[in-house]
Amino acid sequence: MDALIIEVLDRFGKVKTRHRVESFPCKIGRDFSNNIILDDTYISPNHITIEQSENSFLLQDNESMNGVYNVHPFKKLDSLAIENNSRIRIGHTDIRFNFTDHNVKETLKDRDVPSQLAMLVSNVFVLPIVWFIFCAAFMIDSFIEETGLITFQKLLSETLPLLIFIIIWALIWATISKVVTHRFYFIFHAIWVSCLTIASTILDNFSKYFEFSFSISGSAYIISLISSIVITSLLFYGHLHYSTTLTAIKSKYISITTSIVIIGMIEIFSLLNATEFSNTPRYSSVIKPPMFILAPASTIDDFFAGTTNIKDNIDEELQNTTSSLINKAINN
Amino acid sequence: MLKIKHSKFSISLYFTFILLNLFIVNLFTPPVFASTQGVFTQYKNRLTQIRIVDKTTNSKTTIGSGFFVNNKGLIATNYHVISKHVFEPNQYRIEFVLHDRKKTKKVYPAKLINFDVIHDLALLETNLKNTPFLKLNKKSLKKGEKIFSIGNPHDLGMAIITGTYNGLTNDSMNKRIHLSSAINSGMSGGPSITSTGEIIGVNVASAGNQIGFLVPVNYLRNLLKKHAIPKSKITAKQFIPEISLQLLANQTLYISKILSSPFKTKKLGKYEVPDKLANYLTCWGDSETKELPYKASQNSCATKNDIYLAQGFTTGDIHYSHTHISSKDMNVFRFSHVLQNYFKRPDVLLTGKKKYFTNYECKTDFIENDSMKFKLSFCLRGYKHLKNVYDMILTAASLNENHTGIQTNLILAGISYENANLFSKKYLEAFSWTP
Repeated sequence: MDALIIEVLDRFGKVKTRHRVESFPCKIGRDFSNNIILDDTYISPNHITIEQSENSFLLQDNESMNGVYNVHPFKKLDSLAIENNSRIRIGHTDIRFNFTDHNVKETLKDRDVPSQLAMLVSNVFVLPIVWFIFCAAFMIDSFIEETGLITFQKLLSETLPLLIFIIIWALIWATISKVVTHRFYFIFHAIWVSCLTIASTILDNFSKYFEFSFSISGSAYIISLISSIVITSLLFYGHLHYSTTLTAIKSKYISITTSIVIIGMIEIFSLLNATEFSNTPRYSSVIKPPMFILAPASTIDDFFAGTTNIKDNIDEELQNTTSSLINKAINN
Repeated sequence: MLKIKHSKFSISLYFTFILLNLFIVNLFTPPVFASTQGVFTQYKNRLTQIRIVDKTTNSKTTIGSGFFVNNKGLIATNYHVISKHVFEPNQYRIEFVLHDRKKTKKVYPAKLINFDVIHDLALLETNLKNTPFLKLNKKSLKKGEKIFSIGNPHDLGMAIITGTYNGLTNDSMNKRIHLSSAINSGMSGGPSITSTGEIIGVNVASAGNQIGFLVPVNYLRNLLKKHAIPKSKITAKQFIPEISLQLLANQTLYISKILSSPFKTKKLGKYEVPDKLANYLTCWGDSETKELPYKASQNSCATKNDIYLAQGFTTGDIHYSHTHISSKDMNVFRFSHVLQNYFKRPDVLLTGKKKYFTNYECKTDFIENDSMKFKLSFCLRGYKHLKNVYDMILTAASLNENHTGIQTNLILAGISYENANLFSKKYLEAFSWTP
């Protein structure tokens, strides 16, 4: 045993600094003449000395004002024969001793900054252009869906709250970036969320056109379900990647699971809602301009020949209900 | 202040006029042989109060009126008075109340043995013998004839009110007698009779303001004829299946009648759409008056009366409507969105409770007839109690033009699957478009 590792702990018990001591005696205290200087005002200028005897290290209190304490069990010490993992307290600081060397973990690679994306993002024109496209896309969308009279202000008043929401969202992630990685990255977060929102609107519209054109009931639902999972995953992945120190694989897993959980929950609620009793029929109600019709129209006879399924479905559902209801009424 | 001085002459003239008037009235009014009081005392022993009693709490939950139709104690009343017993015969029992000579109330049990759910009639069997009863009227009546309606309004005791006969209604699928009289709830199931005590109908409904309705006596006669057939009595187990049978028979009758002749059509812009398909349907039109970038005008037709099955459970409605939508100012994308808003939700929906109905199941596709292309959605829901009876909602939007379209709804309640299909097919074939 020729070296002693001295670990200075913070108040949560985590290692703040490690010192490898090879020459003894080793002095610890607040004075600059010490081998290990601790900036704790409750520690005396020359608080303790550690000496090496043949096979052990001996800790000695240098008549300090506040003394030396053993932590487990807590008791005052004058001297201590140091063992592996001994933990003492001087002033408000805990110190742990280690005899053995440990293998350290692999060094984490920092992100390549500046990357191509970062270069793009650093261009001052990109964000305004993205936001312009964002506003235009949403205004066109609400223009088409507005069946009443339209004014520019009305369209703007529908789009602006969305933009404000996006700015707040980007700010939250930028703050997280700042706290965790010490970089603000607001522009990246803002561009990321804006682009993905535009993409989700485009996909949403695409799914409706697909459902209308090919007359496949429920296809819009499936397309938008898949695309919303993909887009939400991408959204979280981008934000996590640029605001935390998580590895790419971890970020991927976290973002995919989060988006599946969030969208899954929403879907479960809406599904529960859909199975509730209602006097309103639910059917594929998308209508787009006639030029988008791609599926062939069936003849009236063919259509009604195909309605037997819905009758059969209802009959199957009621197969046992009807007779049991009648029996229940009679044998109540 | 202004003072009016009457001369002695004018006062005497005035009295003479009044006296003369009284004389004329007395002279020209035919003598009333049967006073209201007379009718009441003569026939009140043929009437009874019907009560539906909850077996658990032993208290009455519904009251109505009824009357004897033969000397074997057979009572006629409305179906809707005893409908609770039909759906839950073991929870609710039927009782009727008679007053004896000392005016003490006596309660007897009664048994439901037949009903006509379409015309709201029911027959109850009792253990009484040699009962005084009312005869069915055979003579035809004239508008304005005096009619006496007897019943038990609001459980206040037997009462009689007079009304005048106003002929048969022609705005409902099943004809009813229109009576100008103050019939009200509780009098349901009671008879309306002539001064000679012959039943002309059974009190059934009130539309307020002296408008009352009677089930014409013919339907009661038919039910009694059915009852006369041996083994025609139905038991508690058959009540609900019997409703299905009657509903299905009834809809087959009126649907086949409508389908037997070609559908009358009406012009809406460049489109021909089904018009009034039966004279008992009431049709009206309306236009969107709000300031909008498109024009929408609607035509709809519907039945007025539905068939009562139980509280909150009615059926038998026919309703259809067409909305013609056009716009010069909107682009194709916006216009298709307007059309979608109309197509998304039928303008009228049937009401219903989870207890009685399933959810709708739908099929949606593009269809075409000779001149038109539609997006069509056909939805059915089942009746949890009634086999082979469905409600149907059909919604279609035309896709012939970019800036003009027709949206149509067809609602048929309490219909068989086959008739829903037949009617829908003929309905859709009736549409046409001339460019």
